[in-house]
Amino acid sequence: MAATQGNGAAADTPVLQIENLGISYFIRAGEIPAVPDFSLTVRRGESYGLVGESGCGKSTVAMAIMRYLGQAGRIVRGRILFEGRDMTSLSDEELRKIRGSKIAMVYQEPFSALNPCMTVGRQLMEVPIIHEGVSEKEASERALKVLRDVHMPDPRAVMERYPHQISGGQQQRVVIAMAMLTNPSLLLLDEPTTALDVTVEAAVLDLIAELRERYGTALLYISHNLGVIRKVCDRVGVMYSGELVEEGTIGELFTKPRHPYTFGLFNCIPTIGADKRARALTPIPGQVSLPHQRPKGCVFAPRCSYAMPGRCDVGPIPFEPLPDDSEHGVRCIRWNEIEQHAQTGAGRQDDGVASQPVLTVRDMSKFYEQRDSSLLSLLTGARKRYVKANEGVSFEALRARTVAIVGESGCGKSTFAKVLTGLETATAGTIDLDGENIAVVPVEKRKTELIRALQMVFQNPDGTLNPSHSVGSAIARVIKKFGIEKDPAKVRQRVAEMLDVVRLPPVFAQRKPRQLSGGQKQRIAVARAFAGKPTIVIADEPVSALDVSVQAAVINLLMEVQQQYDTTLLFISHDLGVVRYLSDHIVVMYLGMVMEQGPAAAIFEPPYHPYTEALLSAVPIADPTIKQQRIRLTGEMPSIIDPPRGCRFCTRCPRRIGEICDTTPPPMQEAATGHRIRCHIPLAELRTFPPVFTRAEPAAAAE
Amino acid sequence: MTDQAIEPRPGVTAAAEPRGGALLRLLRGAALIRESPVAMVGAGIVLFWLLAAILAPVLAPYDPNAQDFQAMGNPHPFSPGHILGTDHIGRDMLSRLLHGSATIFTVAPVAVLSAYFFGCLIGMLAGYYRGWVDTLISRVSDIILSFPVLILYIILITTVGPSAFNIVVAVTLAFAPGIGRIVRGLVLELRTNEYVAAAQIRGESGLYIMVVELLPNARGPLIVDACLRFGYTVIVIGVLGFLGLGLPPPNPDWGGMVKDTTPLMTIFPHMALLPSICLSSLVVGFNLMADGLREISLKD
Repeated sequence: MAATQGNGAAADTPVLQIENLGISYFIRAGEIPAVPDFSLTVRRGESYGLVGESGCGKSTVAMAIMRYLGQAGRIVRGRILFEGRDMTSLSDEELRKIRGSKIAMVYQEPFSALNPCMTVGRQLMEVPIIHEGVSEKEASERALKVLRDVHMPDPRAVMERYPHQISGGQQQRVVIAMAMLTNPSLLLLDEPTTALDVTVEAAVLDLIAELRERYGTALLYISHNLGVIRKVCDRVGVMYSGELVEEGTIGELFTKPRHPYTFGLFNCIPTIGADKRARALTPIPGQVSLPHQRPKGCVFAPRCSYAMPGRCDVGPIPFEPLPDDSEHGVRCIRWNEIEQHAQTGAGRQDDGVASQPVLTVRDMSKFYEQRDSSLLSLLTGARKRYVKANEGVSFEALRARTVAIVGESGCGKSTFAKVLTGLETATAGTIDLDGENIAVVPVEKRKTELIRALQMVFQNPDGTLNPSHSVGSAIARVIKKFGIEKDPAKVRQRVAEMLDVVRLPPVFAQRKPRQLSGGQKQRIAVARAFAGKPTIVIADEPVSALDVSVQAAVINLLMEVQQQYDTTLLFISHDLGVVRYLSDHIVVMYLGMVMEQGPAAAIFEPPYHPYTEALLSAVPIADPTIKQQRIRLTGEMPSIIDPPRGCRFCTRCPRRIGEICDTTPPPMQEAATGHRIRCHIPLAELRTFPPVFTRAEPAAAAE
Repeated sequence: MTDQAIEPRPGVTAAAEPRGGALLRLLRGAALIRESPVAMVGAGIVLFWLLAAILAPVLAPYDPNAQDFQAMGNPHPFSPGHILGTDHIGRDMLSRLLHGSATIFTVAPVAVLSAYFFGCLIGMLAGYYRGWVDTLISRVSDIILSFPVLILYIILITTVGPSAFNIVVAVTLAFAPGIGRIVRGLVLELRTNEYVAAAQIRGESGLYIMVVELLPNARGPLIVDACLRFGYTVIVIGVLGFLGLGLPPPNPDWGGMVKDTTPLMTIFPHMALLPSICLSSLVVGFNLMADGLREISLKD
């Protein structure tokens, strides 16, 4: 199909061929070789995935393909052949003709990729008008057609809207539509779904795969998420510190990774199939070395457990294809001497003691009042409307256990955290902590003892520590505030102890947050939260902003500290892999209401709530031995100001049974002890749904 | 988790650990100014006048108010005994200029500091508490800011009389709303950071959060703004002196010196020109310093 596109190049020329590319940034301090030597081939119509952690040079390569490196960046050696033409030697005028027309790009943040003061239609129309000089009318028709191609609901109306008037998922569809307008032969996607919710992500990934079929476009898909790559790509390249360390087809590389870094990555991502009792996560030690401090020889050697002094650290390591598979190559001189260690790392065992509940939430609701100033409301007298951020939330958290609250953005999980910590007060219901109802006590009125019992770890490592204060003073403040220690010398000693708990040396007490990496900041945040010996720690997406290798270390740390202090962890997350791994009990929320809750294992197996089912089937999974059902949600999450009258999920539910779903709030049904599902569908029928995850045939998985 | 996981971020060596007292840290911060030549020039000019102000009693050859009746016949610069000449009633120009800078350097810092104290206070209250506090403070600020500044000064000083203290009050009243606005904007942005939520969850008081968690992080833009406001204050003191609302005579005051001698501009230009040059050079010094500091702050 691709060949018929007629791009003027021979059908067998690769769309993109990067040969020995070297990219450097020139700053005051001198030359920073961001990418020393990089080669890559993307064939016509192929989907190539580029994986790697932050700072490994993925985006730099993408920008270099577009020759868009900014002032400081320069291509110092090598060639980038796009359809046989060397991009490095093109003039600005020729580049302009290629950018946005032959090569298109989709970025991570859809909102900043769109111009906020132009209508969506206008922005789409601009592309063919500028690149092909077509008339306004034709441009408008083409814009409309491409919006239909990306399955935009009501495309004609969307054309007239401004970017802020459509949702994030729709914005990303518009960006993709814009990229597809000129029928490019290469589409660069730089983490296009990272900023999206998991069900939206699944739909966008489907769309990308479908468009690729239809247009025959070659894709270069950049992501840090192996699950996503597995879904959309044919071949994958693993990048580390500016070099390609392994390359192969999805089937080969995901089943038989050869490079220690690649299987290090696999070992540190939690999978749907196993929890903390079944396996341990193995983080990759250390950090990516900075470009100007790259070691001689193998760049991964300082973090590699297989590195051999005298062999791995002497000279450059060549990139070699495997003898039995020309598609699969690896940059490791010991690849045939080492084997991927099976995940035998012992899991964690429960203490076995039946745990007592420490926190009981009963029918907790939080409504925000909103004054309606529209003319209509003036006439009808209904001046007040309520945003039902949380409604009828009930669950129990046991001592030293982990409860996960799962849901997409807007489901009310953050509101719940605010009520719990006393930043907001509940409208109705009770939250019982150690025999005291704290639902209506704001933080100013709480006793120090109660405040101490409830602490929090936040999502964003950059915002969680005050840049003006040293790490030590941040932890010391908690210790002094909660009266753990008073004497300055003892406080200092306690700070050092807390740093030790999170595996950081005591000198870190003097550091300022800007001197720390993201993972280290998050460790400090954990130390700060646990410094007051809390009963409950709320962790709001504590690892979602971290790289996978660091993520594993922080998850392990959280579990260790939790065990050490017998703390109950309330883990708020949208990452079901992490949730499956870490939690004992799961609460699934949608639009402010609990849809399903139960023991972790029960949530991941039928009977499911239809929303849980959709959520599970949307998770991108890197494990090739697991087969996944495909259920996609249509439509947008309704506004929380005006939620559906019946079941909150009825507008998007793929298993809607009829009128009753729209009109009557569904009952909570008890599927098993502690496993409750809020749905109209009878339990007996829910039990008949096929499981979302099934293990692939062992034979197929092994070979 | 191996030992490597706890290594500091590459590039940050343990030796570079910032330690030491407040003074040392201040000096280290001040050393940053070397990164910008513009700021260096500005700081040079300001430092020059600061030294002149401090050493005025030593450097000035005469008492600033002593009249030399013999010199009145030849007030020109480079006349014997008076290197910059004398003014219309025979006072030594050099001595008056030096003592004039001392006046500026006592009134301006006090005025700016006082304006900053109140500006930060209202800005933080408005930005942190929002709601009716914000509305009240912002509207009152708007009213003050809607007055032409000069008219505000004239009304104020003519009602309460000219004195150093009243100049400070007037400058505070005129500047605080503007500073408040800047601080409010910064606080609105900073309060969304999670460390603020962490402090709230810890049960910290509003005052603690504002002063300890928020204010230190607003310092960058505020230092630049303070430099500019020093310049404005110098102008204000000059203008008030020129309008006869400055320090009461016979205190040496650059603005007053210009006022007293403008009628003689055509005959003895140095009498008005020299204090004018001093005034503008100091203002330029402060402005260059602000420009340079802004440049430095944008670099990182």
